[in-house]
Amino acid sequence: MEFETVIGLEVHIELGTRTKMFCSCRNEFGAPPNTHICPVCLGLPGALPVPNAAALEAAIRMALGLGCRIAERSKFDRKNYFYPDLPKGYQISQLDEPIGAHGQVELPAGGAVRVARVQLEEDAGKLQHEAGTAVVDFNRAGVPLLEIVSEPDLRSAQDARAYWEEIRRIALYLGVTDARMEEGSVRADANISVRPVGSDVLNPRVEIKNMNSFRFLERALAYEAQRQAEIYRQGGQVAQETRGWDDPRGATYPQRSKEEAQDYRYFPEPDLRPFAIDAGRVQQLRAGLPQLPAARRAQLLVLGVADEQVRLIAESQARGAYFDAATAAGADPLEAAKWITGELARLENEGQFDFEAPKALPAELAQLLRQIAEGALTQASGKQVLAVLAAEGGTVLRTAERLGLVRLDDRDAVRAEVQAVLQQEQKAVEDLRAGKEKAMSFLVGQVMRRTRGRVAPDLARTMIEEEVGR
Amino acid sequence: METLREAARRLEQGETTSAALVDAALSAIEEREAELHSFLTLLPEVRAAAETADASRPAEAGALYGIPYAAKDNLVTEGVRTTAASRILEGYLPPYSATAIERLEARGALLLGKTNLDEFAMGSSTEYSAYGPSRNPVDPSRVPGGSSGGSAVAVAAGFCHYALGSETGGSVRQPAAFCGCVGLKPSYGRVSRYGLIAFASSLDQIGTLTRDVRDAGVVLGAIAGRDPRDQTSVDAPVADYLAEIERGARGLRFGVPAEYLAQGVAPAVRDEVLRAADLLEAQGLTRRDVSLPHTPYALDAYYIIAPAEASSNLARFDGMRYGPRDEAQDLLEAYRRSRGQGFGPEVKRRILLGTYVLSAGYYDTYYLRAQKLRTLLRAEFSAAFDEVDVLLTPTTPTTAFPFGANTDDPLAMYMADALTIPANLAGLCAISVPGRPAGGLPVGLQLMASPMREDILLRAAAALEEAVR
Repeated sequence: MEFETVIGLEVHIELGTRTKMFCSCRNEFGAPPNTHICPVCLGLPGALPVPNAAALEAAIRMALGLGCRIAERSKFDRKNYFYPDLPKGYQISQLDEPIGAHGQVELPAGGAVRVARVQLEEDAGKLQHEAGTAVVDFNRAGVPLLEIVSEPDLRSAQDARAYWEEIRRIALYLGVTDARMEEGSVRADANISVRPVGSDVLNPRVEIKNMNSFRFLERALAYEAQRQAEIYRQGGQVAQETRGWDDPRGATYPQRSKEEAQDYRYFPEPDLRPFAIDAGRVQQLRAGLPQLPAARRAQLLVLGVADEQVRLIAESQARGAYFDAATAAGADPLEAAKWITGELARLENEGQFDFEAPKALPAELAQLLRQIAEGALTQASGKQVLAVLAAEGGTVLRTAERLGLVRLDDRDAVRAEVQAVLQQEQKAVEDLRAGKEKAMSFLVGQVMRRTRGRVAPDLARTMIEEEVGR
Repeated sequence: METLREAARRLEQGETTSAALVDAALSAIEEREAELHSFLTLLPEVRAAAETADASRPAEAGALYGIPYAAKDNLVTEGVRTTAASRILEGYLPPYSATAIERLEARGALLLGKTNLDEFAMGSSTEYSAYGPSRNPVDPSRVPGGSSGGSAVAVAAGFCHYALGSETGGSVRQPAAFCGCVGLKPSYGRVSRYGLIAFASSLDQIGTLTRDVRDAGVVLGAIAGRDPRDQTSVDAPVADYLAEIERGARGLRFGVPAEYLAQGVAPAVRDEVLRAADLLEAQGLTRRDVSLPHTPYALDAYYIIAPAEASSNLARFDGMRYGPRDEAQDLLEAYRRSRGQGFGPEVKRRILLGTYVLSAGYYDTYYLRAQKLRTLLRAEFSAAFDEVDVLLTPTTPTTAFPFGANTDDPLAMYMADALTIPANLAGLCAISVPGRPAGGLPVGLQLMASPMREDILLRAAAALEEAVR
């Protein structure tokens, strides 16, 4: 029997506000333990929460970015449970009147996932086990957290990963978070079940909580889909439970059964009044949204940019902005896309370039492409010039001149370089005469090397053929 | 006994000093505190603070400057032991002070000590204090009422001119009625709750215990007003309450709802309310008929909403960040030990009750219905206040009861708050003013007014005070 997978995701994103959700402590990762704490986020007796207006705006912007309807009236609720990292014994969250609902996210590879709700809540502290004891760092307690709940629309582990990545991308485009995975500021819980293809039954689902890596999530869900399908094939029944992911073992394991599930005893937070969200303000925020990844991808596809390059440019808002600026400065869109996703992306990955603060300005990329198109620079020289610009800034023309990379157009000069190579590489010349085509590539390469790429490869080839007399 | 205003006048005119006031307080305490047990903590440094206050007394010192006061021990005070009368907060030193405390301090008030209460303000007699009960200064064989019993005793016994208390269902008015002083519960949102250890957040409000109605106006004026640290505090203008009182109450309309004189109200108490009504009419107030038919359900709604919120508010007392913690093998045992040993029986009873009514499948049956009833009560009061300016009722069904009379019967104990609870549920302002004693014991007369109309409430209360005297 063939099975299909049904996955719903709850993505948590820590908002990058200056202060915490309900107090004025700094929201900063990496500070010494328990230095950003106060009576409110420590849950001291008598302390009361006051909502952070900036967090509310960020939540509204994110909900708008996910295509949600924004509530006219919203409120906070208490989610009650005991854990040492939860100072008040309850989390201030939202139950039935979230900030946003009924959104939709388009996946880069096609398909859409409905977003059920976007709610604002507070993060807990961080419990760490140390040598037989446990300590808590409350710096994270009270950090504003968005929970984005999808409908069970995802049909594969890959889609789940793509959806999560897209949510993170949208948050980054909107600037509501720095979304650092390694700092745990983006996390996800997944609900997964399987059913025979074509069926619309809802089988018991397994929850996998607190995933903080795209790769782990994909692996865990792929494993879990297989495990559940196998149970049904054997005539068994999947238990509704919470399971954890053991990455080294490559398997999920049971954590908590349905019977042990918590009763969170939600009720409206009496310390905070229900609040109205001003429709005019929502309109303003909507109008101020930047272009989002899906729109960026559509724009690039219309220009004829290749799929893979589209994906790479849309990866960050800075890349897209760089593309816009380069084409505005006259760069050919397809060439710009190629260089941005090729050389510049490579330099960025090597830590030698930053699209956020580019030293090689988009206008200079446009100039570089013009020089290459006009034949004033070879491709190879262009790469060298770009590497220098990326590291130091400056202009294409001056850099090319300084590096002596202006193309050798003087035929006599080129011929002299070719002759010098042929003189040195007698063996290759003989091979070439004997019809070995590999020798030609080698000799062209040697000419390029001798001239540091300043000779157009076609010209070098023609001259070698003339000199060798083929 | 001397009022706060009289003490302020004597200070102003140089007839006395803060140091002398503190000395008088300390010797009164010396004399009777061992018997009455109104304080959980006394601040020895208050004597030095009084001398400093005398030395640096400004020209416009104000009505509270240099005068000692007491605060219920569920109001946090920076660096001063705050227990909420619970073992679970033994040794706890708050790093900050409640807004109300700060506001009094800013006016030069001197904190004399922290007063006894039922643990976490859950009770009507101080018998549920983990540190032993307080005694009624009028008759030490009887309870002083609660939960702000210690504050009422301190004011009634002459230990201090005024004290802060807190209310969730009558915890200021009821002990005021039992001890024979004035207890004011301001409207919900009138005084910041920041720094008040929460019992039931949607009901809690800081109140005052004073020797007369005008003093209540003075203290309220000092602590009232919006606080950015409490989102439920209301941004309503704070009147000059003494000036309001001087306008008199002639022409105000009042009603005596029959539901508040029904079953359970002692005949002597009922008679005193009816006498007071006649006296108010004689003072030029107009009497109108009003009915509040949902009154009998208020107690039921209260004992769902208050424990529900309490079960959540008290979750933070887990022994993790403060309070005593025993060795434990695992997390569950750590919680069981801290909370099992830290909380007393009444607190546990309410946590269990609250946890139950919020649990899956019961929320709609209990909590939601209680909230609907609350909405009904509000609407009913609102309609009544279209007809009258204030409502006159007994504060409590009976006078102070003897120790142990209700400790085995929680429902009987809860009845002590039956007449005060509606004002908390509806967010009204209300006050208890001493009537003519019955059988040697104080009787409390209650007035209630619309939310944020403390001006009207105090005008009527001052007239009532004068009329029954």
